[in-house]
Amino acid sequence: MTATPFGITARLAGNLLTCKFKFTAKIHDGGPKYFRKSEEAKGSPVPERIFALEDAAVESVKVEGDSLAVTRDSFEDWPSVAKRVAAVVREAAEAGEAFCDPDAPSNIRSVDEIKETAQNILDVQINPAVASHGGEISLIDVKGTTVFVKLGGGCQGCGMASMTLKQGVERALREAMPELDEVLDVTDHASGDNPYYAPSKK
Amino acid sequence: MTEAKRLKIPIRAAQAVEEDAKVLISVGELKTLMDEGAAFDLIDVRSETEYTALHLPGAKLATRDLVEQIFEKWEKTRRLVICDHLGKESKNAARALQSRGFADARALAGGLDAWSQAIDPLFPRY
Repeated sequence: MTATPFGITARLAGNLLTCKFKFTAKIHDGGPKYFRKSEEAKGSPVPERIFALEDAAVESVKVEGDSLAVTRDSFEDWPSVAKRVAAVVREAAEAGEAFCDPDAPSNIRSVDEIKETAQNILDVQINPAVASHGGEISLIDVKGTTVFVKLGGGCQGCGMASMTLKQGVERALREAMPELDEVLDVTDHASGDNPYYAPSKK
Repeated sequence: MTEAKRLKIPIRAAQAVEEDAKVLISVGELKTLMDEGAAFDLIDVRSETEYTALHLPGAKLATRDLVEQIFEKWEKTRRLVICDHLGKESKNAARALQSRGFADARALAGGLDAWSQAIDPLFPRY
């Protein structure tokens, strides 16, 4: 056997309900697939097994290239759930099993649709509320299912800013688009797996 | 004068390193303590929400009651390991404990984030 060991890392999103697993090898070819409930995972072996994990309260599973995002109805005891998810994935990967039914629907909005919905939520729900504190949150970009926003005005430098972002904006955006990966503040380049860097101006 | 100024920084850094050594325990050292089944108390000083989402095996949440109990009733000779998310608050807590006589209080260097990176990649980072 010359196969390299199958490495897995786990990171929780700001709401602590979603855990994103990254693998050292691709687990799924083709476009991302999002399973919103266990019935949708029928015929897709790995998501099906993850939904079936006992006491894990799995609500959705998203499979994309070399990553997998699991959202639960509870944030209790992630280490135990993460280890069981990893075991399911590792077993399938080592057996060379296909993770998803290739014909399963993607259930993921296009980048343009996400942009439009996010902008609308910021305009209608979020900004009128933060404006009273002199703050403003603007949509900077959407990459895949990651939304980049910028906290401006009274938000900037405010100790409550990251909490505002995580709890308010993320919750509102995720409620409308549960398939979202992460909501990141572009001023915080260190956050997340995929921090935002503006394309160089040439 | 210039010479003295130039020397100032490394001397300070060396002091800081020495001071850290008295208050920190590395994730590797903690893993060894766990594997050996050594007697120690692991105290988690993060929020209850973070603790519920993830904590190390055997870690106790530092509630107000527990903290009072530690200061008032626990033997000062007990070995304590304090952990937090990134290793900042735990250092202050370990220093406070040491100044109250708990000579064996240490903070987990780099916090649980370092644990995820160096020891257990399936202990989710956040």
